[in-house]
Amino acid sequence: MRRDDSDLVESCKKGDLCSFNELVERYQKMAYNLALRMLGDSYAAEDATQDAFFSAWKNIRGFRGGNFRAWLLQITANNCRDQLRKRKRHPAIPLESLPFEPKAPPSSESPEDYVLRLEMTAQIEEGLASIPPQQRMAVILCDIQGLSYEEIAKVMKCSLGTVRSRIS
Amino acid sequence: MWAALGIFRKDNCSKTKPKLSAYMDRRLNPQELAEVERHLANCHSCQKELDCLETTVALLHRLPQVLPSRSFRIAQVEPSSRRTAMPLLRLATAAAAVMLVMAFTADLTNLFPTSPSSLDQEGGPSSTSYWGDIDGKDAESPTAENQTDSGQISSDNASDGPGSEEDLEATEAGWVRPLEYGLAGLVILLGGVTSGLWLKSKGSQKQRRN
Repeated sequence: MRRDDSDLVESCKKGDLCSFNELVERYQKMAYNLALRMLGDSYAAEDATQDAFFSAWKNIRGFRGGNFRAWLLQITANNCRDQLRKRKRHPAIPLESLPFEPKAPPSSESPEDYVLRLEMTAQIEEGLASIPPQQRMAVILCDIQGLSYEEIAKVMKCSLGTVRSRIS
Repeated sequence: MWAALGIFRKDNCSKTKPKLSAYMDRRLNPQELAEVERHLANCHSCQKELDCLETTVALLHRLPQVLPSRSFRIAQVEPSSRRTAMPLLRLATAAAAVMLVMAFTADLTNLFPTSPSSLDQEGGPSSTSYWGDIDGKDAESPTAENQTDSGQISSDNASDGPGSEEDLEATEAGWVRPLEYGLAGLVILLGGVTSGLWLKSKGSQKQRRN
């Protein structure tokens, strides 16, 4: 039987790490994808996500209930902001952005479709990278992760009006 | 008149365009919704903008969700039974630093009197020789003979010899510098040890995470 988030959080507050790891399994893909789209580098995204789960586990007793997903994404978003700030101070080229040998397309996809998909993804990522971080975060949460405006407002700690103006 | 109408439409466009995202997400109130729909029915440019926005959002939806290459599950870490000296070291470093600042401030504002020259002029012991004396017998001032039964210092020896007012001044002037150097050394030593231990613990934490 699938336990709901609030039930798992209550167990976590009593020190049950297994319950927390169940939450990790549930939201790790979402948190990682948010970090990846924000930072554009898989290693940095892994670090930001791992740090977010560590912080969440350390501070779970301070979580006052409500939407766990929004709380976790808020921590991930803060980590991403920190990383971007650090990157601004000490700019470096991630290894991933250097030219690399293309991978073979999956068998279910024709080579043409595969190349088109890669190009489209690259263009979207380029477009996302060109907008300011706060706006990028709102777009990722709304149009990629499919969060509601209310959840986005919680994650970004701002009003609904601000969310609306950032997405417009 | 056409020009005025053009400006009016432009003004409406600038009001409508920021609302297109919210319109797509059905986040407009009924009044705003009616306004936007009315404008879209007559404005080709805004209709085009809306189509473009819908295509972009559709592309964003098609962006694949990337699977992380590893799990972010947290491993059970047994709490360390060994007590760490870090809090104590940090406290000691802070205390030494505060004392150093206080000593420097007092020295700079002349709270410690520094005038041993009067002794030199009167042929008394120089500040260097005085340091030699202070370790010896003379340093034991006031002596037993100089004390009255009630335990007070007699006035005969109040103006000359060790234990006099000038001597006390010289003593104060003498220990200020060694105190400052000692405290500075202590701050550097404690700060170094604390930073070293902190870096070591941070490194081991990172290793544990990986």
